[in-house]
Amino acid sequence: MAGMSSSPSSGADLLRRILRQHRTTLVFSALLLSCWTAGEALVPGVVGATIDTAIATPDAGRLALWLGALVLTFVMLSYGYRFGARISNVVVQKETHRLRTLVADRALDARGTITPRPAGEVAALASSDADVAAGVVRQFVFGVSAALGLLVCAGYLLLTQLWLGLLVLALVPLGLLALRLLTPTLTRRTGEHQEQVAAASASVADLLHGAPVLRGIGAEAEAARWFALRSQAAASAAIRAAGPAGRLDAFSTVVSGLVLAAVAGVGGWLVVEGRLSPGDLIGILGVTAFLATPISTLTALAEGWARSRASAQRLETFLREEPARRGTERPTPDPAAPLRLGWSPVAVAADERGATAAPASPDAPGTVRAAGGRFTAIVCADAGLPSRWDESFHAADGRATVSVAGAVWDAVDPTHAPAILQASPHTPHFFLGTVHHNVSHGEDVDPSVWDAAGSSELIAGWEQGQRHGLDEGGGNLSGGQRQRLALARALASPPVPRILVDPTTAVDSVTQARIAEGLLAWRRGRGCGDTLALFTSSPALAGAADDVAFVPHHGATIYGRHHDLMQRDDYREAVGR
Amino acid sequence: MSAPHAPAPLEENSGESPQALPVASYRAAWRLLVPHLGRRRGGLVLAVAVSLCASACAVVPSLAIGALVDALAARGGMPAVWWAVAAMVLGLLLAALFGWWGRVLWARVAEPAVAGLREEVVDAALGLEAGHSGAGGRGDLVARVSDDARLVAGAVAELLPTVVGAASLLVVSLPTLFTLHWALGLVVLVAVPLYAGSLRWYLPRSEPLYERERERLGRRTGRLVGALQGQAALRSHGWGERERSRIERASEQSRDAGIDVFRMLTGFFARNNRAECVVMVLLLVVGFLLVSSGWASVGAVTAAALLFHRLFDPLSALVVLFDVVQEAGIALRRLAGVLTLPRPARSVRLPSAGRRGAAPLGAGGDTPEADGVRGLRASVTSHRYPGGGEVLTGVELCLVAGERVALVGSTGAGKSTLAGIVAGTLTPTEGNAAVMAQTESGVLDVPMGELETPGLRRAVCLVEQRTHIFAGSLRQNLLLGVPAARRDDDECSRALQSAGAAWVAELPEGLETTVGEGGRGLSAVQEQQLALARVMLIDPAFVVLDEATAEAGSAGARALDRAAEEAVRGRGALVVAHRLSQARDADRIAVMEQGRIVEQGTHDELLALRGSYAKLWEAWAGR
Repeated sequence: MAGMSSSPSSGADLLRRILRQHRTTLVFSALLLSCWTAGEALVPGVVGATIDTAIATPDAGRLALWLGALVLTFVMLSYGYRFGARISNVVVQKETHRLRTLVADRALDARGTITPRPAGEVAALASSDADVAAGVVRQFVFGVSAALGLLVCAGYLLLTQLWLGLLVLALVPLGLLALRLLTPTLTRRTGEHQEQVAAASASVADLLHGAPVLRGIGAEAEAARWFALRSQAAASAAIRAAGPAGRLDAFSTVVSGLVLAAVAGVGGWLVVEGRLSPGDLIGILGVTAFLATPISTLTALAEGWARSRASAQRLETFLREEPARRGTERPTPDPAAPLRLGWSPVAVAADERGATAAPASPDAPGTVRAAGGRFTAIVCADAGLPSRWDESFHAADGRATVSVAGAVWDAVDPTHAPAILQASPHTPHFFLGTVHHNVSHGEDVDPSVWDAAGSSELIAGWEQGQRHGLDEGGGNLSGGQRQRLALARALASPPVPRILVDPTTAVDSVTQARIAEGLLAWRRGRGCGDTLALFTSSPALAGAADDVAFVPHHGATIYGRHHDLMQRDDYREAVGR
Repeated sequence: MSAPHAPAPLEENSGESPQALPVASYRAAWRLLVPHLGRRRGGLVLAVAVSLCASACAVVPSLAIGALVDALAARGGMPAVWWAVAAMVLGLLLAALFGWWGRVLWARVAEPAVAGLREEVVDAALGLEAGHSGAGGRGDLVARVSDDARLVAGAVAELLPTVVGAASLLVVSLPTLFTLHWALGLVVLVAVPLYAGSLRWYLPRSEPLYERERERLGRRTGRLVGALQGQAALRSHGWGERERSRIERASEQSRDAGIDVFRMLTGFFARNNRAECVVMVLLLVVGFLLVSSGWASVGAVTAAALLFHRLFDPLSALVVLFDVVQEAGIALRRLAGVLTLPRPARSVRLPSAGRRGAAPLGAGGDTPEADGVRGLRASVTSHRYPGGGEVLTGVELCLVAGERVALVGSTGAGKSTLAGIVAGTLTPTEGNAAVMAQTESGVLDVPMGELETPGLRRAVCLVEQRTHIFAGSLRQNLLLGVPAARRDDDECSRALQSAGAAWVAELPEGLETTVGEGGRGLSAVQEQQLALARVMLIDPAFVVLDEATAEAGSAGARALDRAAEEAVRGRGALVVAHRLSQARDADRIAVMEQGRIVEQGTHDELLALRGSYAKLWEAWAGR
């Protein structure tokens, strides 16, 4: 991911914030886990002591005592792990959930992001990156418990034989320091690997989205080959990352092994010199052998931190992305507000829009008025204009402008926007779920909406009616069905001024006429209150409208009624077929 | 108009589609992975060998310590210490080197194997018919191919090295215990039923939890991906907040599943600790009895206790592996589940017509396969989608080479379904569709489901209203499905020109412009022009245009009409159209109503009939 704007430390900051937030819980969990490591460390010592004092010179009473101690040690380590790990896991799960929610919130924020990102990439941020970043909690608690485990070991060793204890305490930090030197290479490799995995996921989402197109032209195999390239790139990156990861493992084996060998050597010498009993050596070697576990936990810490930081970095970059829409005004909602639509062939920067969207003359070329509370059909001589307007408006590229009762749309707070104006994109998206959910997102739907959208028969034709399930993207709907449900969705919302762009192009002419009638009945039923501006070239819809705004090839918009405008040749051509 | 069904009260998971993608059985899933591993048999054998070496070397330090203790107990001097230290250092260095190498080797085996499986799954998913692929949601598919595949890759990379490592330690340690004293060996064997009992407690309890966890994860990803793709709709309707809380709920459920699974896991670990404790206590008690009866030496008991203690880690690693196996197994089954969906065996090649009866040059195309296509035939007794009523009833439609047929009718009459069946992208529930192919012995019906894809698409291509631009270059998008022979720049620019896509040449980077997600945005008209240019390059004998020019709205419709005209030129076509101007000039118009063809004929014939078509035309003309 080139061109990251945030500073390199911000990933680490995110991780530190996570740890700070759960400080108390994590310290508690780390203490419990330390009971576990301490217990694990003490088991060989207790076993050694049992053999030394109760078995070498058989004594049943002492045996019972030491076995009791052994059982207690096991109880401590077992419950310490059980509850310590559970508590930290709850924190991990909560944090992962929080990060996922943050990603979803940022991704769905009405203000948008400046750089659009593929859905698959955002999904990867919300799943794998959130997981890996929250893993820092595990690194912390297990790191602390490993460090305390090391201390217990060192204490045992210092008490049993001072010089041996000092030896261990000198060797372990040296080894860890050496391991740190290896970490930077690994960070780069794992980062690369994770990016390749994200690219492969993004590719899957993209290809599956376009699967119907692929099937129509027999390009399934070719698309699968595209994916295969991505997938193999991810696999190769994983293989490349295995080298440095393996090196780190190997190094950790060597470090813990060398400590053990050194202790065995010095300890053996001390026994030969008669300054240490063979029984003590057994205990010391057992404890030192256990050292491998906390040491490898501590070295894995470097790898884990690197991975978590790489993920946290990606999360931070995404979460701090600049918003694309920055309006702040919150005008009072008015369903009957008059609208003015405008378009310009060149993009206008967001800062300048306030100025340009209020041209001197309201009837300048390139603007259309829709009177408050009325149904205005906008018919364009340039047949490409509505879709260009639609695309520019939704891309917020500054070429399409709207003002609602004088308020410039770009200056309106995006979170407040749906209450001011509803402009649904011409190409509707459907979500996995029922028809009812897709049309009203769970709210009740006024029955007249279904008639107005020409969808009553459609609903009646499904076994489960409004509870009929839709695929993601509405894959199981025909073009006409999609348009009619999209229209129902546009009309089902609470009263608000609406802009619709070519809502009936995939619908046959008889149904179009029925929709025009239904729309009128629906408006009558509502008391005619809402402003409705509708781009269309359908004579049925234009005929049903209160006003028609005709945008000719040159000059200002002409207003009138459908049958009057029909006198004009260019208008006839625009609604003719 | 009848009132629509009122919705039933909505429960928590409202909006969830009931059908989900299938999950394969363990056996089926394993059968799918084995060939991918088998392809790398050499690497696998090498990786096993290297892991074995690594474990063998890792045992050396424990054995050296044992020898050292023995030697010191027998009053050995410094040479014994040096030997022990040298053996330890050598063993651990070799173990580290072999471990490092092994890790790389395992990644080389596991990652490509899993990538292969993942690719196979995507291949299958792309081939799924509409109505199957979507049933569980595209997000579920994406989750399977990314998250589940990652789990499987991790497991394969971890599984075998750990098994080999732990097993070789056991192989070295157990016989040693029995040589110390048979009673000590037997005591350690008590561990087997204890660990087995712990597994028997755990596995049946955790499996449903893991399944639930994976399923919730799939739903979580699905909801997010769906919301991201429908962002514009969410924004304009102000549904962002509610959709966010829906996503949050899915994420919460996934979090809770994660917490439950881990609780179970720690319970399992506690049982393993209990086994360790019981065996260690037994070992010491038996050791006490043996030593006090004089049947064994203190040294033997010491060595046994140390050896068993050294086995704690590999034993629990082995037991935990069952957990990895189980979780990865579910992931693997979910991956493989996609592969169990029925897919037509496309194996029949389109019979070659030979030179006899080839179509006139310049028409139909110059590949021999396309020459041999005489027509398309669909005879559908009945067709229905999952969860829906009958869409088509008793429909017969036949297209002959070069013929242009328009399919009109009210929305929901089944036009798109019939178009899909004629184009071979849908299989009728009852009935069949076939390509009529010229062979030496006459015209033969080849069922579309059996025809291999390249042949089928040389015969007929489908362009739908909905387009999709894939992330990549314009060239990649344009050349999708285009045979290699027709991929040169001249052909491309000719096709783009015919489709009215002259704008491509004006882009600074031309065909190399990056488009799709994250690239340059194209208008609906531009997208459709690309789709039509692509079909011209593929040059099939027939095209099916399903409202191919409708999505552009009235906007740019005329430009697209001209492009469609070019795409249809010289081949047979089935054109689904709402704009009846497109239908008027067709050789034949078929009018559909409620899943049946009710009228057929030319424009004038049908107007004279004063039936459904006449009514549509009247409403269309709008006067």
